[in-house]
Amino acid sequence: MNGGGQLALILLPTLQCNAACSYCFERRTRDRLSLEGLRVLIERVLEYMAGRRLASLAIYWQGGEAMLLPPEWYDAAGELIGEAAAARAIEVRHLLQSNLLAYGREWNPVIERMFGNCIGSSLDYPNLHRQLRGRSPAHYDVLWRRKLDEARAAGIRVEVISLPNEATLAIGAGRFYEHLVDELGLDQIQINTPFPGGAADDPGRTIDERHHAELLRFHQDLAAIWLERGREQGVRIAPFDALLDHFSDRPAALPCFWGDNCVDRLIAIDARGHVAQCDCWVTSHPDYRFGNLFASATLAELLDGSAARRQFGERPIHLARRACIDCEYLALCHGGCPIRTFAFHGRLTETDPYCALYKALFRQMEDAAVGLARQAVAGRLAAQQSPISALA
Amino acid sequence: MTAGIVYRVPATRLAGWSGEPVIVRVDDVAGLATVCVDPPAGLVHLEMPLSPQTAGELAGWRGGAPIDFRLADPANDYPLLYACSPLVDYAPVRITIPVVEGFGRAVRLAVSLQLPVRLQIGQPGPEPIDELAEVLSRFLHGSTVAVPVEPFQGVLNALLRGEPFSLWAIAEDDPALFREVDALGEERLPVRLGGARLAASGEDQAGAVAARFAGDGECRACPFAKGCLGYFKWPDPGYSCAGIREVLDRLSAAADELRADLAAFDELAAGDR
Ligand code: SF4
Ligand code: SF4
Ligand code: SF4
Ligand code: SF4
Repeated sequence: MNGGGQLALILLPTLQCNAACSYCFERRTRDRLSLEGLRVLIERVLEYMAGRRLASLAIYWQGGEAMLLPPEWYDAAGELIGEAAAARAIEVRHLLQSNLLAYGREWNPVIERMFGNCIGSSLDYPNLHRQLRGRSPAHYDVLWRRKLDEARAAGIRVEVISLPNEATLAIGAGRFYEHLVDELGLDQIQINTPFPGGAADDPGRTIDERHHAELLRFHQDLAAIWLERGREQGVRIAPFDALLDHFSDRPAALPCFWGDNCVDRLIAIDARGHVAQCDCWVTSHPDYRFGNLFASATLAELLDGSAARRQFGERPIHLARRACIDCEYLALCHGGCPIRTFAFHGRLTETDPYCALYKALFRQMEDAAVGLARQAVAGRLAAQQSPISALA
Repeated sequence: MTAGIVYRVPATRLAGWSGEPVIVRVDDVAGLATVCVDPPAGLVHLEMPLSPQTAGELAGWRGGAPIDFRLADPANDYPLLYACSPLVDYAPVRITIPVVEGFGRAVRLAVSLQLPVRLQIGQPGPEPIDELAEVLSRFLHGSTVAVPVEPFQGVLNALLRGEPFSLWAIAEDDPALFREVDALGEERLPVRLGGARLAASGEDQAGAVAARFAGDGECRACPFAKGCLGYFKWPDPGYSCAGIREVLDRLSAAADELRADLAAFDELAAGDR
């Protein structure tokens, strides 16, 4: 019998991409995963899960650009995985992350069947980095917007991940919210904190430490706008919504960097079979790969024998011996994200560079949850005392 | 063996165990695995020390039986708790932590990993008492504490409902409810009572110990005597309870406050109907 645990697998079936974003940290190659290769990888993942008594698998399909493999490939992949998982009584959920550029109506059936009629995509506003080779970010925006409209016309729900940049900070949270929610009609948005993926002199490097105070203010302003306007209209902005759920004692889908240790819950596998902590590591930091699953008899052997993975596992232990143990939000964070830490400090054994931002957000959403609970009680009391309620 | 008693038994003494409730003590993960292959009828939980050696062996352990991990050196070994957190998806896990200097960090980390805690409150000196007060405060008011910390939880529940309670029972040290079995198979009193071997007339011996619960001196004037029954006067009867009584006072005040809040909530809910 399986336990209640879940594994999240970030699967990169292709390392090719049709875009050339200046901040991209992926080392893009022409590698693609064959269905036969997929069968081998999935069988090893499921075998590992059965051994660890993990009951459900969430597969995040990413690239490169995931849609550069044809929809028929996904049809076959979904079937293959479904059969193998059913044989081990493991539940599987598929989620697709795409830049949408290759989307066309031929995708509709598989998106409905396999991905619950939902696609996750990236959208920065204003766009400084997302572009096609030799073309401008503005050109990319036009293409992306067209694809967004087409997908929506087919009934597909598009959720976006957005990475604030210097221009985002310059326009401020109000304008950002207005564009995404009011103008584009998006209601499921995830804000990610940026980290430098390229070399130090790379023009595509995202905002750095100098902007952390502004970024913190942007997050706080956006959270306040969402609390005031978006929440009641059904708009969800991660991670604010998850934090509000958490502090309101509701089940909360917190991001991977808030939890006891992402290493226990998540792995990434690329088209060549390389296994690493997540997509941020698997192509761009070869020294931190855990191994190659095509070259290992079992995933358990690969993971248990990996010195790199041990470093990830031990990270919270190091941090708990230092500042994090005294943090009032330790239950939420445990030191934050290894890749963000590594990108800023060059080693894993430091606290997340966004520690101050996290704490400020935790406090803000904790206060908001308390305030909303108080309002609810006050509202009920007022209703009981109103003469109208006496007539009811 | 006496009916109604939970026995703490080393794994080596399990052969022929006849089904009484039993807590099985093992030394390492190999011991856990052996017991889990054929768990005895009446198994309450397994008990294993959490040390740098055993924590290292835990990676990949997914046995299905409830485990109580005992952290002997909480001030230094608290980061080992990270090794226990992946297990909570598979079986109940609890951490037993002695109240010694520096134990507060272990409690902080355990509750932040959603691991229930059982405190072994011996006769703590001033520093651990201060930490105990801080732990209680987090338990009562911390927005991120969602797991029980015993004996606070048990005492708070009883005070809240106005029910009688026994700290000896909540702390799993009541000889009428818990006994030890040593490596030679001999039945003994709980460690708090000195772990003395029970003579043939074991029940009388336990009864004599129980008679001493009422205590004397400080206990007679203590508002918590009914539930505490002299718990903190063991093993040293001269131990001063000034600090402990402050902690119990705060627990009792919190119960009063909570009771008032719940009454107000009930009133509000009734008004909605
Ligand atoms: S779409 Fe993604 S993978 Fe492709 S270049 Fe842009 S960031 Fe890199
Ligand atoms: S390294 Fe960071 S982004 Fe990657 S899985 Fe861990 S927490 Fe998430
Ligand atoms: S918010 Fe900062 S101090 Fe607190 S656990 Fe996270 S990284 Fe550590
Ligand atoms: S708290 Fe101390 S004084 Fe009070 S009953 Fe318990 S042991 Fe006696």
